[in-house]
Amino acid sequence: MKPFNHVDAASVSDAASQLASSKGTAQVLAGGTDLAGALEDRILPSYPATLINLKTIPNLDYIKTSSSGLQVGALTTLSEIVNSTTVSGTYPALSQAARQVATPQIRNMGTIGGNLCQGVRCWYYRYPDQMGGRYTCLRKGGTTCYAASGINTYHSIFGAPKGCYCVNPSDIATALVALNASIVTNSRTIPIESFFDALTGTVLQSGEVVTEVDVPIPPSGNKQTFTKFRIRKSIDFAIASVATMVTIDYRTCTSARIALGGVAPTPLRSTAAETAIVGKTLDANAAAAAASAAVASATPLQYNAYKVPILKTLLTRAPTPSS
Amino acid sequence: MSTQYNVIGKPTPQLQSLDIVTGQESYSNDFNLPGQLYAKFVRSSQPHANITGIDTSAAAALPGVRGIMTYNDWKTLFPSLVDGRVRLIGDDVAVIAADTVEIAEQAVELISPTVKYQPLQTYFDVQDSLKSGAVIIWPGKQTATLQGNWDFLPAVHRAKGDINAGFASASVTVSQTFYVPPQFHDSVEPRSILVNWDQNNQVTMWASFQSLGGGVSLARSLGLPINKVRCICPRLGAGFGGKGPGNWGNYLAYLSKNTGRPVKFVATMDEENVQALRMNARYIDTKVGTASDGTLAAIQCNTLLDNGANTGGLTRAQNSVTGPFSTYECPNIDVTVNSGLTNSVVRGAYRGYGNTKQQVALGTTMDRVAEKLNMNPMDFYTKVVVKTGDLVCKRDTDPLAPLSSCGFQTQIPNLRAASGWDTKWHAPGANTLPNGNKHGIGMACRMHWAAMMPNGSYSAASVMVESDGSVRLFTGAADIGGGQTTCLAMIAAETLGVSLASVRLGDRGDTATNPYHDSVSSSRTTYVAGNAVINAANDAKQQLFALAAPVLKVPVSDLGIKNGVIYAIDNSSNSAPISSLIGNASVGQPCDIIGRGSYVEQGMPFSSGVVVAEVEVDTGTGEVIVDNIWGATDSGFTLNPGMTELQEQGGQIQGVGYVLTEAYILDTNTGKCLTMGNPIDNRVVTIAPQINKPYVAQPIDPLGPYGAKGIGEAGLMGTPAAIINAIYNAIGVRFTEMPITPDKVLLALGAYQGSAYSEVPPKQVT
Repeated sequence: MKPFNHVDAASVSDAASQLASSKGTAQVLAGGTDLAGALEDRILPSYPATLINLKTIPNLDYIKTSSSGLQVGALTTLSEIVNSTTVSGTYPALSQAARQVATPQIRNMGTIGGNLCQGVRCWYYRYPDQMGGRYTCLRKGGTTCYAASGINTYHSIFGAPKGCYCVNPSDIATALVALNASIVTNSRTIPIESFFDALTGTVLQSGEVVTEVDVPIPPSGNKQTFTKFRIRKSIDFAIASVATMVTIDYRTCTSARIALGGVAPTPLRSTAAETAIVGKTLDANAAAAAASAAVASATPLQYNAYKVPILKTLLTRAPTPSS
Repeated sequence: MSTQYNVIGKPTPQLQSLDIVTGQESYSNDFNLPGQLYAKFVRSSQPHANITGIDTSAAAALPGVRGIMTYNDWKTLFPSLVDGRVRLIGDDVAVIAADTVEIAEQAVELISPTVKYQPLQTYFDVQDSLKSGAVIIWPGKQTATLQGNWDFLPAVHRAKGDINAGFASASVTVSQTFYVPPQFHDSVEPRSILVNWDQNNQVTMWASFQSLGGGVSLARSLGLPINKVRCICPRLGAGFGGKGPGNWGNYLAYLSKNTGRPVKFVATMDEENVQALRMNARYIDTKVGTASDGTLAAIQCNTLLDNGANTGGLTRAQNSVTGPFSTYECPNIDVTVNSGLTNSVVRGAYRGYGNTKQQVALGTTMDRVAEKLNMNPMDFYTKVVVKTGDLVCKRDTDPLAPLSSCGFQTQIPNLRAASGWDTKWHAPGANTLPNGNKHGIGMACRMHWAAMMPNGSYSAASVMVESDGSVRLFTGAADIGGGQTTCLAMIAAETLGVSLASVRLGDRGDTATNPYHDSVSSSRTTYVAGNAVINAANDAKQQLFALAAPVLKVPVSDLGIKNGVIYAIDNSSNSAPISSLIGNASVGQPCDIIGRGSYVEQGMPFSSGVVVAEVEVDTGTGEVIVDNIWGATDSGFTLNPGMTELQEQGGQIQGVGYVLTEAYILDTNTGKCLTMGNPIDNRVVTIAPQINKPYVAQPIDPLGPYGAKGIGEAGLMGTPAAIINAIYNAIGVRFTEMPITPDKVLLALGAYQGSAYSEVPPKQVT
């Protein structure tokens, strides 16, 4: 691995000011489970001169509740989220999503902040530079998305708003969209649906660091689900995932938030699927209608049309509240 | 379990188990020398090109860079191996030795952009590279067995009977074409090489190779006497056929000579991915004809083998004869194997070297035959598989010889009962489970060799008895994880008549102190090294008896030995421990005893096997869930029951990955392998399905040590075909390529319109 400086941040403001003053030559490091591989394979044309270690920042690792809901510190590990009865009790979609990320070892290292900011898994994007040269794709400042006309088995079925057909790999993000969370940084609070960018990953600016994830208290009587389809249940990223939060009055769905993961460059909220069930009796027919509505706008590529029926299956099987 | 023996036949943990699980065992990468340099390679960015220039001046000027060798140097030193052309993305272009890995990497960065290429036509499908007019990928290669070039290896052909008459007489005929992709070994330990060429021209190499024979071939290619090259192969973090020296050993040895320093190189998983002799890919056309009662009338097998950018491959083609000729009893067989090259990852040995793929094609074809005959596969296989004494062979050039032992007769009924076959097997698609998934069960039989070549390969051993009665065993067989050396120590203890605890393995895998062993491959080590150890231990025992006879006043022929005590057979109280017979020079005793033994393969034992797989297919997601695998192996006499079962189970797990999840994805626009050596895109199975305790048939084999046979490779075979057949039983779809991923399953079920990416190479425009 190419050498870099490693500095410990004393506080969020310390990390932010070092990040800003580095003029793009520094990167922040939390669990490192994503960054280490990216650096090892030299996937980006630029290489950080400095890694700013966030793990030395005190009091950024917590799971708290307040009158406004749940607050999770950015350095909280995925394992801590999995093990929290607070999360599993009131925010089960988040708990289940965290449980299905990678492996126990990675969950012990990986943080919620890092999970939301991780790079994409596109195999053109990740190709190791040492083996004949990296793909300088659209996402790296190039002009071509190699997946668009290449082997796009695991890519977006909902288009490429900015030309890149990769999918956002975060399971946590999918759950947080359904839960209507917000991302707190050192300078602002960003609603989850505005946090992601189809080309740059996130909307974070230079010198901006994620500090907290806020989840509002779910509506009373709500039911949540998170389901993920992947090849190996022991480790893999989602081929498709679905997070739902619905409320019902007797058998009628009165509100719904449905999020789709692994199928587009950003986690997608499917208002079409929500509209299909709100005001309806929540049964198998409603689930099928939601599934059809969710994929109606899908525009699969040459090799990934199979993700459409898988996504429909996940939506159809998302347990209905009465079940 | 046998009571006839004191040591063998009992479940025994690997002798190094404690060291392995506590991290104390030494692997190649644990060896370091003072002052060693670190090597990194410059790798090609073109899949097929002549190199026309390179500028190493900037790298040479970098502080800490101690030596650079380029393709130009290699061309001069190794004209038969290197010709200044690159044949795949990631091919060797130059190598740098520097004070640190980081400096070496920096030098690679300085050199890589200076390499000038003259691109050549690329080929990613062997069907295109073999067309007339195609650019020859490896021109002008000459070897003892091969004149001409590597692109057009001579076709392998083996036939018996009259294939046309066989098909003419058949009342049922089935044919299919199967494509098998190049599987990656994915050993947890990449290759590591530390080499020191000292001022006395003594070359010492610590390397994770499967073959100490590599030491001899290294000596040959370096032009040194064999005793000037010492090769040390410590325990391997798995091999599966992928751990050979390639050209790297030669390059690094010269780098050490030129710099006057030891040089260390540890391959990255990416480097292993493109150059670790993956399984070769192949198209296999099979055609089988039978009489109406299922009796086989004809088997035809035409295979086209893609050797990637590698030289060689003739042995893989020759070994492809095994499946049709040794698994089934059939009077008319015709096997043809053609081979060619492509500009893709290097292919070579992979667990089963030429047989594994053929067994997938045959095992899936036979399931079709049984169906067309309207026969239960269990009944069909019972009828068609070989039995002891049938004439079989491994390669096209081997004589047909009687099968020395075979386990099918007990394996098939055993798995039929264990798996509950008769209550579970059903018409295709006929069983929907309560969870909505489709249930299926399938089986396959396999046959695999347990030796390299009849009257060919060689192994030697020595057994040293110390003055206190303790024993050292010297064998050239490296331990690649299968417990090979544990079995050899058990054989030594049993034969000599001492306890296993008193036997210590000598310097494992060191050519300076151990006699020769060809390689730990071909499932041959138990057979050939085991017999060499028996001979060495018997030699030592006879020397001990000669010392004991005058002391006990009993003729040698009337002596026995147990637990290190020699005794008169008719009066066991008339005895002498080994320690009383050696070590006292003042009374004329020798100070140690050295028994020597060697063995040349006398024949070709085979190991039969059966696998039953039970699956569920989720028709909503296309997922294939393996619920159960039952396997049966055939070890002859089982030297070490626990390890035998683990070896079979390990192979089955590897088979699950091969058939369902592991993919080789080549981007033909660029020639780059997208499933590079990272464990996310190359989906090796990490959690095994329910693998049941295997049944082990134990037909005593007259060739093997104590009747034992090797079972190292066989476990991988059978599982892929059994799973493919089970999927057919579940959903009525026959797949003819691997891996069988959800996109392909859903497409076959008509769940979407469009296409699934196929690993079968897309056609090149001609």
